Amino acid sequence: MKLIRTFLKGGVFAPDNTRSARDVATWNAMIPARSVVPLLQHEGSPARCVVERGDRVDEGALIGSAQGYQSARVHAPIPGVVSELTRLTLPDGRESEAVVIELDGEFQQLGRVVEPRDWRGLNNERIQEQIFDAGVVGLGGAGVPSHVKYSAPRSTALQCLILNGCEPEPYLSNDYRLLRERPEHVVEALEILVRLLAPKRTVIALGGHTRSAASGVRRAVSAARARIQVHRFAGKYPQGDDHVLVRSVTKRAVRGASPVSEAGSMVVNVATAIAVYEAVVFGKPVVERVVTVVGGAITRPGNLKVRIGASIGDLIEECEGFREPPHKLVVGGPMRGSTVTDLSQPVTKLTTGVLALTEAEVQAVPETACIRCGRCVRACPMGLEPVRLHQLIAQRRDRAVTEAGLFDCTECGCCSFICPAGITLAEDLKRAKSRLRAEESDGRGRS
Amino acid sequence: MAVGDRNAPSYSGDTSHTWDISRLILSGSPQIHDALSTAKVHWYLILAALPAAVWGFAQFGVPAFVVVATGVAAAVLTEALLPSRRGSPADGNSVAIGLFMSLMFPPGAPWYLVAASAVFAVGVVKWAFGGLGHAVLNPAIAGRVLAQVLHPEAMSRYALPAGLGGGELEGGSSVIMALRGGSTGGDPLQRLAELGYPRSGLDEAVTEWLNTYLLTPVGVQLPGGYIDPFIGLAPGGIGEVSAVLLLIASAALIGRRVIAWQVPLSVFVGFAATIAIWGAVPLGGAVLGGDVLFHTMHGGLLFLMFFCATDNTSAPATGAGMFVYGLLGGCLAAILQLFGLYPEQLAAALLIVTFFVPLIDYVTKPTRFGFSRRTGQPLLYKARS
Repeated sequence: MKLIRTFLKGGVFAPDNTRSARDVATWNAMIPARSVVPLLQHEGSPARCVVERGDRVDEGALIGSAQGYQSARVHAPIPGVVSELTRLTLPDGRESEAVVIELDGEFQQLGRVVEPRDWRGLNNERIQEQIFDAGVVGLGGAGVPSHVKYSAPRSTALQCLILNGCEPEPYLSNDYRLLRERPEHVVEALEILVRLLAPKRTVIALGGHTRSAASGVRRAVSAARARIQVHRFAGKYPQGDDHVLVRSVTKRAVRGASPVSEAGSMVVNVATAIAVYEAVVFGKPVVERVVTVVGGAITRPGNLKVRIGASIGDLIEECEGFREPPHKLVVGGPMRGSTVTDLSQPVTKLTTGVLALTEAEVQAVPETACIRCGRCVRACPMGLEPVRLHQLIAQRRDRAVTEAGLFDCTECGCCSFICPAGITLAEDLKRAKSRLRAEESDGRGRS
Repeated sequence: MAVGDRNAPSYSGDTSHTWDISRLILSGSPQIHDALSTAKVHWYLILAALPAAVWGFAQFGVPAFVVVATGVAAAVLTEALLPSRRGSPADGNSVAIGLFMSLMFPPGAPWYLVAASAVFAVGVVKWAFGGLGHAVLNPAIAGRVLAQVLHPEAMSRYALPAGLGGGELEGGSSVIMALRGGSTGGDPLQRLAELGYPRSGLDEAVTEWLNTYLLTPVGVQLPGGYIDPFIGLAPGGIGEVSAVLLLIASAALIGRRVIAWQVPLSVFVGFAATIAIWGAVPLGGAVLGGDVLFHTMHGGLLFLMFFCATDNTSAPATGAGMFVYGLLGGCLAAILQLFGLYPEQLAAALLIVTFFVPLIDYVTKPTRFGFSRRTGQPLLYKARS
């Protein structure tokens, strides 16, 4: 029995509310009759629309081409007719153009058997091209276009490639289902990435409830004769954050403001690995993803394989609707996700979960004066003092707050989660970051 | 939004409160909370102190109840009558101050002394400094120490619990003061026996049972006299005497993360180490011959370390800071216990250590993730080929 490791600095033990959804096999959601496909489903500049109203598109056809260095392709999730080009506000607050497709015509890929391609015969440029063509981005929610991440210039050889199978946030179990149901595909994706990136070592990290997928993953690793280690970690949040995970696996800590590539590591999310596998082995673009639909208000929680552009209302209906009045509808996880009040919000590549939380689950506390208990300081995995940053922000001491490490904040939400005074620490820090970033780029524009 | 609205998903729940999309809440992340609010922190603490308080009432009778009722009432009234600043009586903070302060009083303390101390604790130490979260010192401790200064004689008069026959101790002083001047080779229990200090039948029975069935097989003998203070048959502050009730309550508090475990642990370590080294000296014993068990259960350490030292506002923020604070506080408390002029004044040790907290917080600032602890600079990893 190997000791289960954890990280020492900060973090919180959030309630394990994944169970209701995680023990149910992933099922296929119904194909939506109408798909709303935002052109901004990644970090970077939005894709450029290459279709017009009235155009007929096939399943998987290119509808948005990447523009600029950091951008990603967008494809039609369903065959049909482009009925509308519109704009919408995404749950994270960003504005995006969107292509609306009404279902019509025939599915060319769905239900057909496609022969897997032998990727070992492809050279690295070809593999990169496949990943780019398929519009693969970080499906864990970060949304960095994968071809950019994999081709970014590195000053040093990649020391460690980590597949992040840790519980990303409480409630979410979509990564766990993929690890349970498709471990051999995850391992094959890692083999592709090992070929592409030539890391010194490769690790699959499991943490929290995903630890119970360990035996299947180990079997897949030995069946593939891959040189991949499996590490297991405790279910403390945020074990699945890049910085914390890289520290746990490689003992190298990089400040939150810097990417983990500075420690010679790369972290890949499970869903992204599956997307890489499908892109390289089947040439399949990212037109669907697994979404966890869970929360006390959901009648039949589960993980659904959903076409991009389906509405979250459809997903909830698929889970037999609400059994209790929801208090908050959240897109994403409970720690980092955003609330929405609009059920027509489409599922995007970055939608990890749809949560319908009851008031009892939210457990909001009334706001009081700060009691200076220091819980936020002890909970911060980045070793910051959230209460002090919060004071400095209120006093508009921008330089001091930057020096105190505002930009090292990874927005994990631990400080707000445990604050007995109900102070919106994480949210205010996040706002201050975007304000200071905006002011800085304004300043650059003027000079 | 240009995209057409969809029908709301079906609803199969209780129709007495139907669901309505307009009632959905918009909020920033995180969307959930661990539910421990400011008020809950204080009320859980109060709840945890109640068994020990009730035990005190049962052992010391009506005077004890009068002390505690006066303390709590004066504390709450003070906050209610002063112009509202941060916090209100509903958040439990003032109740906790009044309760913890009066539980450290001797059972027979005069009501006006309790009331004056409570008014000082809430009105000056807490309210005047800015209210909830702004008390630089721990108000309960400050109130207790003020009473000691105002009326040292009344604050040194302890009674025997009903379970030991009641009545005042010989000379009106406490167990701790009884140890002063004795010369029994460092054994406090022997000194108490000399003074004719009573021992309950329960103590004898339990000690004998333990020795026969549990300890003899491992080659240890427990002298009589430890079981009484463990269950709470000892003179002392109203809420301080029952070790077992305090231990159970604090285990629950630590388990629910209401109090940080680092504080009581480090206070205990600091205290125990100092007692172990010097504990026997005042009684004519050798260095390193101190009786840690005896001193832990007599003199009010347990209440102090679980309910006062863990104060949210005055204790340091980081785990490392808590250790420094606790070790210092424990050491100083032990020194006062052994050599202090008055009994039961461990609270003063904590008050003194609280003055060091800003310094402790500064020295034990958390090391930022990805920074070198030594140089304070971000860690850089050189390219390794």
